[in-house]
Amino acid sequence: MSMMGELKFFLGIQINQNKDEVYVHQTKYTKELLKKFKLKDCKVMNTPMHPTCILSKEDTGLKVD
Amino acid sequence: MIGSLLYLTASRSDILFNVCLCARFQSDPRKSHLTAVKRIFRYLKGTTNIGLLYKKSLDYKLVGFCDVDYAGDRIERKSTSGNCHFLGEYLISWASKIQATIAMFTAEAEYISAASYCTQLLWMKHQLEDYQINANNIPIYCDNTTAICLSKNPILHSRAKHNIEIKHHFIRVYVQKGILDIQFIDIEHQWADIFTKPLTVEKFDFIKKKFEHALCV
Repeated sequence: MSMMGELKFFLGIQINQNKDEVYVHQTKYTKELLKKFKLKDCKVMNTPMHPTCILSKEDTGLKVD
Repeated sequence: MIGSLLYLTASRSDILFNVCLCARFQSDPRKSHLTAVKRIFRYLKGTTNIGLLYKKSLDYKLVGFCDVDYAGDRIERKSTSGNCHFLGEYLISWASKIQATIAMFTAEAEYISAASYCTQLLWMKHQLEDYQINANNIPIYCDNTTAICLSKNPILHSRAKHNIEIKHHFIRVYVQKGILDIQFIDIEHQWADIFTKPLTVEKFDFIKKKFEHALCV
């Protein structure tokens, strides 16, 4: 790794380094995921899950796989 | 879909619980589960640039938080434990996991959660020792007083002695040695909450703000 200079991008993880801080993020990876699953134009939500959301195994809804 | 989200949890602690919850239904996914996964993506869309920010600091104080959602799992009534560890101000380790045993009461669930994550703290303590940083009396913040009493008091209570597996009692040894120190924290400041249950917008944003040094927008 030392031959390739400073580590910036590795396996989808971006690393920004400067003198006082290191910032690790996956912005590019997230954007690619949204593109891959065709959800680029979806509505934005504030939280990843509804607070009263209950998922169960006995769901008789439509199979999706 | 789940697999790609799981990889994303490497830098995104805020979606860890939700992704793990959805992952439990992978064998027979239904429409409701897919909707839940899509909701995670919708959240991600608005927050693509969140990551972990580590600033230069000389503060090497190790702190642990552990929380539990008692019988949160609707299928087997197992409890979900969540924890996060900070070095100084920065988030360095986090986990959300369904407990292997079924807890009979809340304190037991909390106790199991604290005990299982104290191994992680001990490991980090040893890592720090390599850099000549000695940490003692590492605080673990827990929001259940009974669980704290259980870890400090070696007397076996009638309920505790039957229900809690022996392996979970090893936390006591470390508390008595003065390596770990379990302290009470009110539910408002229990940051590990985010790893155990779906939260309301206010609470979610509040915890995210607390992680702000870690999650930089």
